[in-house]
Amino acid sequence: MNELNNKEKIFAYPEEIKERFIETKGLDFRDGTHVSSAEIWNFMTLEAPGRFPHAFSMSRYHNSQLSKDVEFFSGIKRGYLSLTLRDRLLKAHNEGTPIIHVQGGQTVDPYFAAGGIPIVPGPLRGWARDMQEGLSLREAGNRVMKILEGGRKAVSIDACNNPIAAIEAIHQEIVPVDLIAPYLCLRCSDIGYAIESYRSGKHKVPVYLLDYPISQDKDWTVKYLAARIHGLIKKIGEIKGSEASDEDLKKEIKLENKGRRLARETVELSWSASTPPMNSVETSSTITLGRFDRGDSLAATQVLEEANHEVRERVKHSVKADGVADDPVRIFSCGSCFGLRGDFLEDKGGIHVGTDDHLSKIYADVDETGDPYENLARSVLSYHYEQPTEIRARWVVELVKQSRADGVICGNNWGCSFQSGISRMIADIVKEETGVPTINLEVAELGQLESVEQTQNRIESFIEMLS
Amino acid sequence: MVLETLEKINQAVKERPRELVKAREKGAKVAGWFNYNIPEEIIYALGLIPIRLGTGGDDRLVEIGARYISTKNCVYTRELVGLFARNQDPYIINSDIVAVDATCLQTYRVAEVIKHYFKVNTLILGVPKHFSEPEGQEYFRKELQSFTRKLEVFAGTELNSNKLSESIKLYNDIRKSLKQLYKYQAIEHQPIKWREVFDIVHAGFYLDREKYLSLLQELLTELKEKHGEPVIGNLNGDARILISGSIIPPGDTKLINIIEQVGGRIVGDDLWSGLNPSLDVNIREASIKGIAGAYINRVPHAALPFLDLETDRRLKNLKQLIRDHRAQGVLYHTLRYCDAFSFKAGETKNVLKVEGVPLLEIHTEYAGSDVEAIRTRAEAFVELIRNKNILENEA
Amino acid sequence: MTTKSDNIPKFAGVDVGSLTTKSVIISNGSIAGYGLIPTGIDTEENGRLALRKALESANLKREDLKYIVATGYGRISAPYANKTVTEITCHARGAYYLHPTTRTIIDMGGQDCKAIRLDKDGNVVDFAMNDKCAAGTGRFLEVMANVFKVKLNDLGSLALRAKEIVPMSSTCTVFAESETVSLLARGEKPENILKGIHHAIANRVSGMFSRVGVESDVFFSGGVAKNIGMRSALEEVLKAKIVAPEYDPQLVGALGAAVLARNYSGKV
Ligand code: SF4
Ligand code: SF4
Repeated sequence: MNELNNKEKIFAYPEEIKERFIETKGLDFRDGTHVSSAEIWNFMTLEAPGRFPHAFSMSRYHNSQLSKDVEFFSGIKRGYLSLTLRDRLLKAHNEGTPIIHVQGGQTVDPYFAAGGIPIVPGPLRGWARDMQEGLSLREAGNRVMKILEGGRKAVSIDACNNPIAAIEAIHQEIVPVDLIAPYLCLRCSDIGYAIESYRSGKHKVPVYLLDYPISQDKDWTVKYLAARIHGLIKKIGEIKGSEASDEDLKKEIKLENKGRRLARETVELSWSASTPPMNSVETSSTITLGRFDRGDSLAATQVLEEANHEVRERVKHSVKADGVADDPVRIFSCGSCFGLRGDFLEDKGGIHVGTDDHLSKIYADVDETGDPYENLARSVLSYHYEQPTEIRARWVVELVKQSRADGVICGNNWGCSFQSGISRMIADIVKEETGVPTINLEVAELGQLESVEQTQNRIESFIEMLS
Repeated sequence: MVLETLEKINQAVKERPRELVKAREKGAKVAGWFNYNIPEEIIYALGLIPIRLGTGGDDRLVEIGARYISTKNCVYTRELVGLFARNQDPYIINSDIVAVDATCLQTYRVAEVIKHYFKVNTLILGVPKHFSEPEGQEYFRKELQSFTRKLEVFAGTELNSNKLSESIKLYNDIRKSLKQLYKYQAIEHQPIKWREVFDIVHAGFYLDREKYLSLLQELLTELKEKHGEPVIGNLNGDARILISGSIIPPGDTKLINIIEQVGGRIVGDDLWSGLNPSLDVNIREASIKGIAGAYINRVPHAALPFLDLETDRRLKNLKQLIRDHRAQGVLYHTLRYCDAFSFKAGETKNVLKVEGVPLLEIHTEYAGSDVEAIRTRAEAFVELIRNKNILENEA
Repeated sequence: MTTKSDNIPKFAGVDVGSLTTKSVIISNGSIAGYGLIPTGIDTEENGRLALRKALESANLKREDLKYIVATGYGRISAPYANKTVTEITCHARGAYYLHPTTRTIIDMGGQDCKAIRLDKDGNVVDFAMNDKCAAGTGRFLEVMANVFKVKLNDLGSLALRAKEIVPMSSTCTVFAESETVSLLARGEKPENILKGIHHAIANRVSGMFSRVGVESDVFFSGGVAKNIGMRSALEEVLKAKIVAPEYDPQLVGALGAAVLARNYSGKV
């Protein structure tokens, strides 16, 4: 019978872990709030399932499910960060903290340092969705779709759905965003054009762009970008009413370097382990948390610290992550704004070991001595993912070796003209240099519910081929 | 009345590939380029032969190109890749280096792809998105300096300021002549058609630039002798159309043919393969700095963002061209997956509506399958403009 | 058969579309007859045949016609016509004739779909027409009817029975077919999927319509206008009331051509 229309299976954390969980450390947030593990537990087991039922859906067609490896406690806390994003952003906005829409491919240190909260398109769309509570999976999907269609209608059917839906949500005033200030990173064909096409819209949101030039290795490029970052700090300062000092910047850089290092170490440790200590969802979440995409760099770093500790323990005792096959087919992915469904891969005997896009963020430490602006600029410009394609491909080759991947999926999202342009080139180089099989995939949707059977079919056959 | 100089230009274009081969045998080097912001003045001053590469309208090449990039890249870039893959275009074969600027980043990706797959010797020029901010302008200056240094090494000679002055003068004269030609095509008795002028612009992608200038001047003299000064005169109830939007490179005649077949009269364009590169280049000093400043300050290509509608010089330029050429409607041509132009279609339409100028967007590719559908739209657009003319005359 | 030969001038419009060919004859300000046939391979012959049917239904002979205007895809081979005009202008005329407060026309035909804006005198001031995509066309709905194994005419009423909307992508209707097959395999209710499809089409075309600005009254013409599911989805997405055509919506183009024939004949 139709499992979507009837009662959906809802995920719940088992009571027997409660006691151990609430003994763990709570989380500290940038605004001074402390949340204990008992509070986190209550939220995740009582409050959130009522307010955001879709997030707990175990439907086969739910593509961003919570991790089922419940013994990995830091994962529950990461889930907490995701599900409280809406409340935290609204609270921060009301208290005068600028909420800033940014793009994925960039260090976020300057935004936090200046006292704002950066938010990338994916979580921003989630925030917009969750402005209405109590939605089932289907209702949530329809809501996201409606916002997206609004954006396509306003701009173009050729538009990539990622930025267009986010910017549409801002312009419909579904979410209060104070500034739109992304880097025009080289991966993204749409963000700049999309922002430009909303300039004559009714709702006026301040915009500040940061160019991402193609000549990353030049001094004058560093100077150019550093000047833009200066301007950014000023701009955020104007909105907030107080401008960040060099010291503020340096402090934030230290914190985020720590977070990046923790994420890196955790993932590398997991790669080298003979039995995988983290499942696909935990791995990719650890990586994305290292780019601080859940609105709080402090709490994120604490979660990463705990994750790092848990992985060490598991590796020490050869504990395998729950739900992962004994000798899983290790899949590495290449490309931005497309994800692989961890639970699906694991179901078919695979495991996701990382994406070059997200990984490049946790490998971009910022120098802690000297001019912080130039250091930030240098770090942004060092992003492996944004390098000329041949150089990027060489880095992917390293990652494929290091993560011991059995296969590489090069993906790009519909409408992403820059990634589609080089997807085959990356695949060719990686295949040639590593001998590891590759496939190219174009994904059409980022929503929650579209039919993904065709994509999944290809992934499934790819895994079959590799095992 | 036939224009004799037109025939001479056609002849010169036919002979050009052979000429290039000969020049190269004698040691000359050819610098091909594509995208939208390479200053030819510098190439020419270094004694290199500049050629603007890229064609359109050939679905076969598009298909070959799509094997390397993707069907989700604009057809123009797909055909570019196809041209390098097939390696038969005389200008591609004869290019010793290929310079590419980073204005449209899809095209920048093409540069990466041809370097990787076809071992093309490419040279890249960075272009800032913040073209009007001091830090962006400074960046472009530095980029152009570095680009020039590399080109000097390739040419085996240093940029000499006399040569540069001469080159700047030559290009200023070419731009001036082309602007004058555009005036002639817009006038009452149409002594030269827009389409012919458009082809002449494309001849300038290939011909020796000095020879090209003398041909342009000869043509202008011929026009002046036969038709006097270009004065717009009576509009005769023509449906006067200006073409705007994504590039229409040499070889892409689909839309132009249709407009002519349904009785529309094209009276101008603001295309980057047409009039646009000749507009608004004010080189204040004969130096790299002067050229960088002039290029970055001209009306920018659509790939560079304007965040403020009020100060958008692209729209201002478009409105000015509509007035200058007395156009009554704009045909806004967008290639699929060309976000730079497609995303602006709706807004441009609204802006022109306020001015009373209708705009029709044609969103297309090179394949012929939509010719009939486009014909219907173009024809209805011509009907609309004609009807509007009649109503306005009656009023 | 008796032939009604009087001195009142008669005018004909012929609309050779991709799926059907239509002809309408007007006389004395009212519709005297019409003909409708499926379009075959020979476009010219189709036009003649539809015209003949219209003449028959009006009890007229070819010589009675003072002026003929041809429109539609087949207008390029219509030597029988005095003049050819695009279907955009013809639809505008036809809708305005039937319903003079029309300001926006949505026309969904066999293989294209258009939005036309009129001024208060029925002049076309703006229009948009879909590109390569098949969304919003009769052809596409036919494909869908096949997938669901129902009659084309029942597609719309089936969608109206839906209790939920299954979200569908609006980017590509070619995907839509395979997407639908997957959704059926999942066990989704056909009516819910169908409602999703109708909404996806409405979304896809409404992007185009927003370019011309939808203003009431909205007149819905073309073969798809008979589909009530489509009409209701469009009303929801466009947030506009669509006037129900009292006249067969497929004939609006041919009617407009006949009206134009009358206008032109006055000018010769
Ligand atoms: S998929 Fe590409 S175009 Fe879309 S947001 Fe991501 S990087 Fe930008
Ligand atoms: S600007 Fe548009 S047409 Fe020109 S190369 Fe870029 S995407 Fe293609």
